[in-house]
Amino acid sequence: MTRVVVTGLGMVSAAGTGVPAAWSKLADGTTALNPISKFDGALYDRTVAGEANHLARTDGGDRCEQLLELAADELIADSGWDDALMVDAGVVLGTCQGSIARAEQIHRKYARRPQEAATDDDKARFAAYRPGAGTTWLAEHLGAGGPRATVGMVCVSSSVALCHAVDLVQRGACRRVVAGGFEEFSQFVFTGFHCIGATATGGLRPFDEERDGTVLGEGAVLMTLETLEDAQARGATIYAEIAGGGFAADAFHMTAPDPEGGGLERAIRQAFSEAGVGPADIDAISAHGTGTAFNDGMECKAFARIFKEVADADRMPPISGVKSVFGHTLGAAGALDATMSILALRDQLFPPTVALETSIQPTWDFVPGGSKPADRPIDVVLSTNSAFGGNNSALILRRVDAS
Amino acid sequence: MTRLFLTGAGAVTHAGLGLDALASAMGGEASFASETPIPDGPAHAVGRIGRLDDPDCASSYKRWGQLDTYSRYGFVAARLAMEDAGIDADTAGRDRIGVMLGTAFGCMEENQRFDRYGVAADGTLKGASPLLFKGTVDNAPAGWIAVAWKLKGPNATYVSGAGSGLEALWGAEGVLRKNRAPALLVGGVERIVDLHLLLREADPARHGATMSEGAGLVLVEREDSLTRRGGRARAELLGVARTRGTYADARAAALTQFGLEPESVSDRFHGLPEGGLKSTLGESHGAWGGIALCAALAYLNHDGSWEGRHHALVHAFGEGDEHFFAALKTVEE
Repeated sequence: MTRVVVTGLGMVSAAGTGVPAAWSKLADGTTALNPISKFDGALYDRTVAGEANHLARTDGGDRCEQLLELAADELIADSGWDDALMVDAGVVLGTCQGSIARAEQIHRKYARRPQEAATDDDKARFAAYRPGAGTTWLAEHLGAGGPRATVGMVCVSSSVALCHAVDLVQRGACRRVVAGGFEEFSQFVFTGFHCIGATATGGLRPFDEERDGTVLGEGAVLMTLETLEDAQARGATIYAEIAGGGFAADAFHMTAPDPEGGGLERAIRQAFSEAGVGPADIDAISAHGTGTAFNDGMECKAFARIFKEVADADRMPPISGVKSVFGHTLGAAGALDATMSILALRDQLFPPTVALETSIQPTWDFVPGGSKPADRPIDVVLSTNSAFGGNNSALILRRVDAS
Repeated sequence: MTRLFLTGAGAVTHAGLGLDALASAMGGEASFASETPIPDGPAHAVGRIGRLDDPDCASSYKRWGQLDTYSRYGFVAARLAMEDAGIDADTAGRDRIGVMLGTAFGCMEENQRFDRYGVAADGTLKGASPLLFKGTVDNAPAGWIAVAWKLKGPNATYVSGAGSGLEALWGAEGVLRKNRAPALLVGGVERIVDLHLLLREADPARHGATMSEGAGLVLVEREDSLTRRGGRARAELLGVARTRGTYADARAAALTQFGLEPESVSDRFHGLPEGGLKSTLGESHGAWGGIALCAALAYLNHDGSWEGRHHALVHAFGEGDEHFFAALKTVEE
């Protein structure tokens, strides 16, 4: 099977523009969560979000395009891809709601004054709101002439997008792909999460006994993927191999996860099988860790079954929940978590779970506080995500020189 | 390489439910409705289904009433495909089946409703309802189908424009060849809202055709699974090609990939706006690929071949200048 590797990274998040800004915040154990600015949080009795507040919002501009453009700038510089390499590159992105903010005003206007909702501006805004519009925009912005695909699976969107991108390369549909995810912070999604009781009263505290919900964020996270052979031939920096991926359904409930984590376990075992690894090969875990009671509890049950033998042997891999730093970026979350896992492989650091005080699994190491230097080589990382609709995904990221 | 078969199909279109309705529509006149989305505004033709009530689903699934219209299209198509394939609660390994769907516009109707009621004009949240919110995800149909039938296999939703249904089939082919599931429900779902008619008049993705809504799902099954349960194959799926350029160039490249001679293949199930099925079935965007697969099977039911040929190409436009071609082959008894 063709091996597919990551040769470039680019991102924007609440921590700032650029991968170094994000990694620095995470490694230091400092949260980037900040006061809600896009709307009045008092309506919800909530104050905190993971907005990219360092970027001014432009009147009439598309927030998703703004985020994607900045992430793409860094990605291209980091990967070394030139126009010749880009010309047949694919683009595969994941998003939950795309440019939903473009539609919010039209929806409300149409509901109240339908005869006024057909201006040329409305037509242009509505066209940019289609779920796949961000992918089209990025492909045209980059001059990427290969296959384009978008995954719409809420919080697993970009991790499944990475699986799809790997598939495109391995099955010969193209030789290289820009893949990742994006999400803008919107009142629409915030209202939805709030009405199901999923928003936190304060910070985001994954795997903490006192956790009470998630904090929504925003961002764009991109990677360049290509074959190992191509990357080596052009002398590229190779961050990691995407060695395996899996996705599976809970088939339990539309908004609540299977409390036993059955779908997540199936996704992880698929990814293990594809990568040819087992629980004992995993050196670190990046968990979804939304800070909700249901999600974090479900994840622990799945991990407990899968890693029982290594845990019994006192070799349970450290688990990181990075959303306490960036917020939950929904459609970008899978790619963001994978990027932090890749940097853990590069720098041999276990990323922390910031704001953790009382762990729900006291015998496991969630790396509370700040990052921790590896006490053994970090060669293989498992990164997991779960979503509404009962979806689960898993990625296996591996250091190339370790395989 | 394992062989893959289409073993069940379910279609929901403005022509009705099931393959027979689809077959009738293929041989008849276009019957589009005329709607005026704004008072005194221009009329728009549309292949409309509307709110779908299905007594079989209503009686067999207690949460049927919670399903939004977009999800209902996919859900009913799934019921028809599962029944057509002979999959029921007693089928061994049913829980390993997965669902992979495509849609261009997804949950836009529920988004519109949630925006209308979620944050009310007076700025309060009195209308923000968890029941409404659960429909505001593009993967709602795939989720409902998995929950209702306890299908725990791979589950994915692509929102890649008009090619989404065949994008899902392309992804499903990879999943099945890796033996990640014995079978997958695959296809596309689309729900058209008034705002589409109002604001997408000039959208190039319409390709000049009349907009329509609906769903088309097929059960794609590995040969070992089909043999094990003693099921019936309707057609063989040779594969899905993604090629580029003009339709003619992309088709030629696809035929080369499949090793097929042009004269041995029926092109009746193409996604071009004129001279094909879209003149009667409309442009159903992300649902098109799935509906076209169902149309190919409906045609095969009726005639035993595709215009005397034993191969058919089902085509959909992808994003950019990409095309999807699914190659089907008749099955010898």
